[in-house]
Amino acid sequence: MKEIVETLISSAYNKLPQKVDLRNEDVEYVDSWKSDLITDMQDDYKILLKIIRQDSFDEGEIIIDNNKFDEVLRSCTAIRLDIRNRLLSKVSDEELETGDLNSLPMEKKEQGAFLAYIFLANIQELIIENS
Amino acid sequence: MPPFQNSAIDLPETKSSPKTSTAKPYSVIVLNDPVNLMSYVILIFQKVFGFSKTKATKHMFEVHELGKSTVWTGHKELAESYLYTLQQWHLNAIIEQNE
Repeated sequence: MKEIVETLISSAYNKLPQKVDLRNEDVEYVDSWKSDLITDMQDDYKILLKIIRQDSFDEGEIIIDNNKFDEVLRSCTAIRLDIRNRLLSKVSDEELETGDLNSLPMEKKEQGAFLAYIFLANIQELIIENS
Repeated sequence: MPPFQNSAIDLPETKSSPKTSTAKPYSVIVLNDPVNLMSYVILIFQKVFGFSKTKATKHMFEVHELGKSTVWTGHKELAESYLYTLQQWHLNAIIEQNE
């Protein structure tokens, strides 16, 4: 799972996972806004990368300091949005919610993305439950 | 600071457009998306706006069932700050000037 998440972060690192609608025609202003959001997102990704690169992660344990909960929550969301938009766009919302992998015609790359999508949601749920 | 305290978080610096000034208030509107967990959306509303869990849950269900919810109304500069913060959390949000 570590390699899958690292690859997903790498793919998503330099762009926002969803469209940002500012309803503002000032291009410079909009670009600056988006650039700041990307920088913030990358800071969050760095925290998540540190966590999944811990030795304990390889042993099936994920250790997150409670002062890093926000960064992890945001980065999990960003990756899940990117997975949804880029790799699972053919899957309906309903299929995604039921999560029955066997019923979905997926290639290996999509299956890995789907598992990461569920894995990251579980991390988010655990953080929210334990806060 | 505890990670999920039930109060508003610090907002980023205001990002104001150079050509703005109007008395009409702006609304911050959160739109539905198929990815974010309900519990996550509730949490963000509590953190960003200092909503109670009940109020945050009401707005979350509005987003989920009606497709959108107006979560805040006021001056443009502060509306933009809230918008930026919601987008940092990857919620699908916009601001609109009231009629």
